[in-house]
Amino acid sequence: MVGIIWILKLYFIFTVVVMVIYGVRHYIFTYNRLYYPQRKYCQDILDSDVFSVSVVIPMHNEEAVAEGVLQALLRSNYPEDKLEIIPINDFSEDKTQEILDKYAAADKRVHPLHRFEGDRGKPAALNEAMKLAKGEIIIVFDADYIPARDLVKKLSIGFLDPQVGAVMGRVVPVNTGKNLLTRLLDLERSGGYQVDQQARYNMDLLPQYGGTVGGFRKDLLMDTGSFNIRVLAEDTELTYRLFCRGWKVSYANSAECYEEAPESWVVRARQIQRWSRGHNQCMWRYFVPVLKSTYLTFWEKLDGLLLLCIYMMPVILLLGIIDSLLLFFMDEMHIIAGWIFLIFLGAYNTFGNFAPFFEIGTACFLDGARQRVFLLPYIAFNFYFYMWFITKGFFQAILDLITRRKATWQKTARFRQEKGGTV
Amino acid sequence: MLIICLALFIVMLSFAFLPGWIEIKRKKDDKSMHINNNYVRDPEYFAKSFKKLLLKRVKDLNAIEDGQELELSQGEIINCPSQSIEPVSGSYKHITLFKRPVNIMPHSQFFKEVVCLKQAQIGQGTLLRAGLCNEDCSLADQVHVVRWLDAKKIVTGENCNLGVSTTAKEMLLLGRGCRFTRLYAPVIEVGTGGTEEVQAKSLPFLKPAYNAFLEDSEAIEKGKLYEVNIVKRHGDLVVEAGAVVTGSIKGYGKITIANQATVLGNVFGEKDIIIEAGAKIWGDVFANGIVEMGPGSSIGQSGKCKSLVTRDGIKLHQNSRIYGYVSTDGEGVVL
Repeated sequence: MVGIIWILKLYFIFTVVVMVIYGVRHYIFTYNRLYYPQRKYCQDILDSDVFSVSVVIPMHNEEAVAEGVLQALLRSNYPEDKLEIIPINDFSEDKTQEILDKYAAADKRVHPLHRFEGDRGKPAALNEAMKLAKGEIIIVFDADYIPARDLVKKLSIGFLDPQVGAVMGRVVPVNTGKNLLTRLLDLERSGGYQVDQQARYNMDLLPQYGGTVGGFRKDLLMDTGSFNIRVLAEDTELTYRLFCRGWKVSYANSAECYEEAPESWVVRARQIQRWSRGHNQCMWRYFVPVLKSTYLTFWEKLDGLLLLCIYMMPVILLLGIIDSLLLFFMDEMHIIAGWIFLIFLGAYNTFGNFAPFFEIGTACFLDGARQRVFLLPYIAFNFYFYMWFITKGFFQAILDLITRRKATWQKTARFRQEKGGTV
Repeated sequence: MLIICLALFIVMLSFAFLPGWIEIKRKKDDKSMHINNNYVRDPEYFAKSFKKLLLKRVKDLNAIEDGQELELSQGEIINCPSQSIEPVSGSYKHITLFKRPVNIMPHSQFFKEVVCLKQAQIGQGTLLRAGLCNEDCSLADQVHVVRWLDAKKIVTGENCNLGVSTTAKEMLLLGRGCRFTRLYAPVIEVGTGGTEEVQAKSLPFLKPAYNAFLEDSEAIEKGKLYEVNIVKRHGDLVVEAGAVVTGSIKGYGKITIANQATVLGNVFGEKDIIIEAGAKIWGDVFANGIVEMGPGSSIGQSGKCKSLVTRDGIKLHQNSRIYGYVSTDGEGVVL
């Protein structure tokens, strides 16, 4: 019994230490974004020589949004002879195929790929598309995205830097005002991109390639073995694969693109669970390679490891809460004695928990949003909601690791209804 | 007692959520962050949009009469002060249109845009809010452009301030002491001109097979050929005199491209980049620091558009040349 109590106490201290580390991390990023010189992305470069680009859009039953993304891309100011658009019809059962064929017939830049055999899911679809793609650079959009006219140019210009293996843009929800969930997701996106990603880019740490509104060098990916179809978070996997081999991910805060945020809690739960599962799959895979990599600096390794473990945090915290409840009812809560403990506890409760809120609030400030910042306390609901589904994803990732089973890709449901457009 | 405590708890809790609840109900800030999906970067944006605005109201600028009012972004009076090539001077509060070649006297002041349909010579110390010139434009010393200037060919005197953006369709020749933020022209040159032209050559597209990582003490050695991309993660990087790099260069410390060295690709630096006398970079140069271009150095190739973009500033020495675009978030200066 004494041994169990000691384990519980040690775990409690471990939880506190981990929470403090992540809290400090949030503060560092926020302060960097607020007060330090911002690292410039090279979007201002004008160059008459451009890369050949293949824009790839995985689609599974996307009749509701397919036309929107294609129309937006066909308006792109990227030179026509250097742009190829490959919408991937991935086992669709609706009118996606029909829509893609209509656009292919009307514009020579559109080369649809219809898939009805092999593995379903984004990584498998991307692998097949890359065999067809003629571009040196692959840029990926999800089907619900609405890229601006100059977005392809902004993203592809980043590859002029010889060390950049992937470029990531900023995602902005198009349906912010729909309901409370979309409003909260808008806040999360702001914090994640405007502060977190930009600060990591400023500090030369590990900005993450997010799998959409971003691109990568085709040769680089093909040479390192394409996407692994067993990994649900192919974007995180690519990020770490690149960094561990001496490449960089560049973050382009000004390369903004609208996306559709989930409008129902069920859909969001499924999405966040999938992210957790995929991200944790990457954690098993890359924890040791990050530590061993000769290309990464100490700070890059630290940031890389903290980022790898980010979807483990809610699990650690959930277990920490259970742990503290057990200790409390066993009357074993007196872990650190003395008044100084009260000060630490008070300080953490006041400022430590505040760190992510501070980060999101700062992002709202930088974006010039003055009223939506009042919604910040409601993020607490998301926090507990996510805690449950991220924990589920974490245990699914453990099962994936043990059983070597193949994960099934689950598409995020769309809510937008487009009217059929003319090509 | 329990009920009072419970009520107090709920009241206290509601203080945190109440402003958010009010925002949810009133929806004052529920719109998505604005993204201009039609935006396309154009270095000549100012001149083009102003010209478009004018041509929306009158098809032929020659047909505008002195004192005519046009509805641009707001009601604007157009002055046509001189119909001859006589020098003009004075202070102008309205948009000014010169239909014939014009010689503007020193220390004139134009608080609105100036449009010149023929050649223009701007006198010393003139203040120009913005200028659009269909033909060549020469600026005497100490001309101050507040916003933008666009012409076919621009030659500046010394110590001019070139405002936010100065663009030329053929050539931009900069005098000593000029300050600038953004420049765009097929050829941008400092001094009297005469720097050897860098001809675009039809070489096969250069794609070095891999990135070579240089150790701390390593340099690109004098006179040698490097057919790779060069990445230096720590410390300063020197491309020694006469060396040729066919790929691109990336450095995290100060980068120096020494005398007569050539880089056929791009140069990306996280700190300052020094391009010494006679060094040539065929690609783009980008720095999160300052870039200093030595005498006779060049960026880009004739007939192509390449860029020099920096965060902290640009220093151009005499006879340096750029083919394309120059931009800095800091200050650009001709030494």
